[in-house]
Amino acid sequence: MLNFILRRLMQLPVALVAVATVTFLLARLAPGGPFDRARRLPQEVERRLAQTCNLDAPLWEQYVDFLASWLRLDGNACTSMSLSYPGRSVWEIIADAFPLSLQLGFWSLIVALLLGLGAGILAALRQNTWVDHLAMSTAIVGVSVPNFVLGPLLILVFSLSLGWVPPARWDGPTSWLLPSLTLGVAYSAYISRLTRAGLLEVVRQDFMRTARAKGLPPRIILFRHGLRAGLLPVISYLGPAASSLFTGSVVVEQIFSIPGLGRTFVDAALNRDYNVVLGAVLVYAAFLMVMNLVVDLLYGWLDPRVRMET
Amino acid sequence: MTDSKTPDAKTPDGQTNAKTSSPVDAPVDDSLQEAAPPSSMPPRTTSSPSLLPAVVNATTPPVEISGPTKSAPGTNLAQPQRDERELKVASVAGASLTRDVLTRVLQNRMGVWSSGVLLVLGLCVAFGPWLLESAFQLTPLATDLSLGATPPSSSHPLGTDILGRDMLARILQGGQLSFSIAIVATFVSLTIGVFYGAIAGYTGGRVDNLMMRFVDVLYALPYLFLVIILMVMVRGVRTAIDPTAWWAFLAHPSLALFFALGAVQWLTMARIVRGQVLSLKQLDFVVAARTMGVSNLGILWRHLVPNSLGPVIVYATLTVPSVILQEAFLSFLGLGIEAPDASWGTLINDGRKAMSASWWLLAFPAAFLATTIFALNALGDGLRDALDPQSGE
Repeated sequence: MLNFILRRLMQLPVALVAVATVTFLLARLAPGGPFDRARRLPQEVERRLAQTCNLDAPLWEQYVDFLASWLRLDGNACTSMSLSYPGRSVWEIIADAFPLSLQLGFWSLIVALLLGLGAGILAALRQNTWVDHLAMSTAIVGVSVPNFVLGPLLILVFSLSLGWVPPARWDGPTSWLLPSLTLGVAYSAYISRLTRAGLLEVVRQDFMRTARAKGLPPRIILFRHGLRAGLLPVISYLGPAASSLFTGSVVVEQIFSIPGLGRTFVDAALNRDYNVVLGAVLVYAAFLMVMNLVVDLLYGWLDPRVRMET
Repeated sequence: MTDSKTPDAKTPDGQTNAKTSSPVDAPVDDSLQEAAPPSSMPPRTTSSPSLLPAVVNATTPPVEISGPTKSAPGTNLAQPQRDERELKVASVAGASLTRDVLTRVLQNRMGVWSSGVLLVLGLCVAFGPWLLESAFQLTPLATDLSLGATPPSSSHPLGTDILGRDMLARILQGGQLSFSIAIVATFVSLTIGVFYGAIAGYTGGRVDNLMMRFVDVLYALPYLFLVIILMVMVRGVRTAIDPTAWWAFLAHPSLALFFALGAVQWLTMARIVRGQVLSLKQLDFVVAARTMGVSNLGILWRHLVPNSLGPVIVYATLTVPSVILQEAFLSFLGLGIEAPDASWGTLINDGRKAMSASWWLLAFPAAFLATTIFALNALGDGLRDALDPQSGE
């Protein structure tokens, strides 16, 4: 087990360096730069700016500097190149933006799990009744409506027409509702299908019959025996789900004007703010890899058969 | 099977039988049982028990091959019914994988409906813009500022946008872009994935290990971010180059989208193909091919790849909607298709900005997109159940 964790942790830096290199090359080899304006800046100003950001050094030197500053975890060495926030360090920008994205991702995951598990369990318990059919057809529709369609529709209905919740921003529980719903609904649809399929498969197995034969109350059979085995597909889906939840937040942050990391990233990419782009990508990549590792560990803990093999 | 072959199949010695019905494979047995009730089983099948084993032997008493069946059908007009029955059995016995899958998909109501919907949508998108232009003079780019954004009416069935452009024409043309990007990107990912996976799986050993670790690393990348960066860079290249140069089309955003989206989708495809090839290459028919002197490339191309196509087709069907969604997602962020061209993503983004005043600008493109995704997902599910019955819920 320890061996497995160590091996995975060793892969992490390799993958991160790969991400950093690819992003760096993509960002720097294309024409254009952070100081391009509709009206060109005076040459002297542009030269000085490039000098402060070390952009006049040879490319390989910049690459080495950039890697070294991240290896030292010295965020203050990189500053935003945007002229709107002169000298703001990348750490500060990420520290402001990332918590918002994390909160959004967390609440959407809660929405996805609550709706998905609820609908899935109900559908499995009432298999082939109208409850089941309703839940499953809602799930297919939920998968087919992308979040950039759902978001505007929700705003139109619940804030512009009914006026129940604010249409944008992230300041207070009422404003959290629409973004989390927008992001979470598609995942809840997948989760409900997985839950239903997993539970239906488990219900027919011997240990469930044993539990029933022992005379356990149905609630205990379901929650203590059925869910633990039936939720394995859901757990293994959570890894990819978490990663796309956090990338999907790019659009939701755009729709609801939430100044999270996704929006920061897109703005920085459009403005060629190289340091912020690289910082955001690295933070995302590290986060996703750690999430995947956690999910794998969780899977082994829940299913002893997997643990034996690793 | 045609009439001309029937007399051949009916010769009593059983050897020509084996020749004509050689494509029989195991999964057909079930459908044979349904299609041909035991009582109607024609005598000829008894002469080749090895091909249709349990079904025939258990249910029909061995029938003597009578005189009339030996002769060609044209000479014996007294027994047209029996001939018909024989044709039916013969055609079932000759069912290929394609045919088998087709029957199973046709039994799936969702699958049939969604392929119907897709066919209609595809035809509309392919010929709609041309039809609208030649019959009603509605073009996606013709502006009419005096009209402005008008709700659906008889002259503009889905309304017009702020510049007075007909929405139906714009949506159909956007559909052309979305569909073609999705199909090309899926094809790119299919090609790379099948080659990569087949080579890794067939070579095995250290090469396989190395190739698959590479895929693992790529899996861990936040690829959507890389695509976003790539699209931003393509824009930079576009503004920097001479737009009249002959190679300027290489920096066209649609082309970059094809490759960016296709290049990130192949990973799962490669894993699927590798898994299939790994298990297939152990089987006897591959050993047989090798003893017959078929080259490695021949085995890979003629035997392993075609046999792993089932899951590949399913995954490709499911890749198309995800590419359409990602294209729409990028266009929504303003990184995909550029004005005045429109894709469903840019139309939805425009509609979102105007939705409180003109609902039809958001509702119709969204409805088209959602219907397409829904139908493609349902078709993919149906195909999965048909091609891989074990994975069905």
